[in-house]
Amino acid sequence: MSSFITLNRFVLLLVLLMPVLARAQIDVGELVMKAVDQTRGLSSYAQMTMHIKRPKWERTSSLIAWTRGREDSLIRFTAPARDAGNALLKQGNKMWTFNPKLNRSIRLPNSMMSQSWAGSDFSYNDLSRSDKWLRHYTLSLADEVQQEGHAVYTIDAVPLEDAPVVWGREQMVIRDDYVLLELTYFDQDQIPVKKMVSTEVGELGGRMMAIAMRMEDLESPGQYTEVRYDEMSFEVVLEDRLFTVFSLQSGRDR
Amino acid sequence: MAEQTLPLPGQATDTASGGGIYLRMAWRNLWRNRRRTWLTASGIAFAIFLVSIGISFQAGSYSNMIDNATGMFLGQMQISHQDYVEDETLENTVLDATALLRQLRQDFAVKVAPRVQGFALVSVGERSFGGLTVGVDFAAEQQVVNFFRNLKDGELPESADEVLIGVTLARNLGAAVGDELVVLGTAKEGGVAALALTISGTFRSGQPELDRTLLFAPLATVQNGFGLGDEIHQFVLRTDDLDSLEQTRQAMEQALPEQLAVRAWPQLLPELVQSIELDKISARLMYGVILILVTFSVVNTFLMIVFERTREFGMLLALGMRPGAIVSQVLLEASFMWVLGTTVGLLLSVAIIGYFAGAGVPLAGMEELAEQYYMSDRLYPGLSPEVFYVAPVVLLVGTQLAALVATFRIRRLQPVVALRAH
Repeated sequence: MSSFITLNRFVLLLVLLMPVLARAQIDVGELVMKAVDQTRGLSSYAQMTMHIKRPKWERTSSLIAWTRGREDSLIRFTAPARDAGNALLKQGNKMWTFNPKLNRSIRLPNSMMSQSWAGSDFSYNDLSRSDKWLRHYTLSLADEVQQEGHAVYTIDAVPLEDAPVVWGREQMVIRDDYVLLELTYFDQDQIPVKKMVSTEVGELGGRMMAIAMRMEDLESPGQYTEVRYDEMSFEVVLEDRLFTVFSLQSGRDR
Repeated sequence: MAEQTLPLPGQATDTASGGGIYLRMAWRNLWRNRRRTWLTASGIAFAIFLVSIGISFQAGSYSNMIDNATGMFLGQMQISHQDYVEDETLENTVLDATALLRQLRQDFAVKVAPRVQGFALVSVGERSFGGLTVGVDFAAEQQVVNFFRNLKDGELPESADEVLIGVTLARNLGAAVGDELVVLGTAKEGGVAALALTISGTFRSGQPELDRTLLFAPLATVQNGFGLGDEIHQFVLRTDDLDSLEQTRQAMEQALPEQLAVRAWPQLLPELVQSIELDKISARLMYGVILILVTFSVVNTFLMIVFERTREFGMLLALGMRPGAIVSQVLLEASFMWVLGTTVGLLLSVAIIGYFAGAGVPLAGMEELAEQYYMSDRLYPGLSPEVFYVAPVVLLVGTQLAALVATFRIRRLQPVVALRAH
């Protein structure tokens, strides 16, 4: 009798553990970093269009961006004419912004990192997020579903105690081919505040990736920023000095 | 004793009328025990003095607090777009600012200062911090608020590319007067706001968060920099007549386009209104205690009077005087006592208030508290009708009630028993 119960328990335990055992097969950290690398490669060059929508106005800008590894990137506005030449350089966790009218580059203080970048729904932090996941977060698999022939993973990222992060939690939805489908930002009370959704997934520059993304402010409906990659190439050869304050200022990249 | 002599109606030779006789009798009865009368009257006088002075300085400290809180930076009234009240973003501007400004100055007895403000990155050399860039008309500001008296170094901006910054911000930036400062932010509708300005001076307002975050440049400079046209975020107003502020506010709301919100200091500083209300309540409690204590001492006085004069009242009853008439007589005595006390108390209050209205009371050693509660270092008493009528009216009712309670026994007095009382 007692051995029957023991056996029963064992079976029950096995049944309960099955999904966990199945999930344990994927490395969450690896999945996240591969998703990050998917849009960056060893290096990349992209032309983008950004559309900002507000209740009282909207604005469309064009940008070009270079990235190298997970650390370095440079983004420069090319249109509209009034904003052309404004640029943002990221070197590790340091950031500089450049304005051609003043012909000055300014180092962004950490206190400004959560501010909106160029009036969009992206903060400077959102732009610098590429390499932070492994360092500042505890990652765990929250859900796994099958969708259109792909396995789709939902991953919870909870910042570590001492992480320089304003969010209470971030949740990513990543497809098994490393395409980031969704990213939701929760505040300290676990209420969703901002959400980025990939609105178009396709092949660009030889890779499967999110071609268009929309960042939405969940607290003010009708307010969002859309970014679309118009052109993209990976593993391009970039000069070392591209990611320096000097090049930010000289605008030699154009 | 001569004082114990009953003032007979027949002796009232110089007062002819029937009413006059009661007045005369009451007045004379008052002086049958001078010491007690003066003691009770002094009690009344002292209570009136305390309460009047209290109300007066209270009113003075409130108007001091309001003046300083609004005169510092906020202004007595502000006009802005309705949406700006809820959400202080750059886009929520008041349009056609120049025309509105002219209309306000023409139609209302107010001083007006226009302001625009935008949050941006402020940097000098290698250092940068977030700061709120405020575009102002320095000449108009000086008529409306005292803020720009707090210059520490240098002077107010005179040309279009000069800027005044807070001392803490200057220290954080490692900047001094004459240095070049860069403002970089987001302009209206997502554009880039970029300004290169020269620091003309620094200010120390005493409010750490202002000294750390604010910088002031000429209105047009900030408007251009942040992509604004003939637009402002706020009109800051000052009127010399604080008492009719609410009427002015309503008149403005009527006259101005409806999407504009006109807010006076009670709406701008609800916490100040609340702390004044709280203070008023606690002060009222204290005044209540003072007035009730004095009323009880009056009750005591009249209980003694009735006790001492029981035989006299018995005789008056025996002679055919109505009990009601005797009670009225005693009430009249109470009124006289009140008149004496009130006169002395009010004279004293007027003298003291008059003196301090000129000299003010220095609040030495209370500077920090004063700063916290937006007060200046000298307190002046305030003059309002309440100062002179609240305490007297309450005590008039109090003394009459006291006398009425004390004379309750007279109505049931049996002349025979009363005549034999000791």
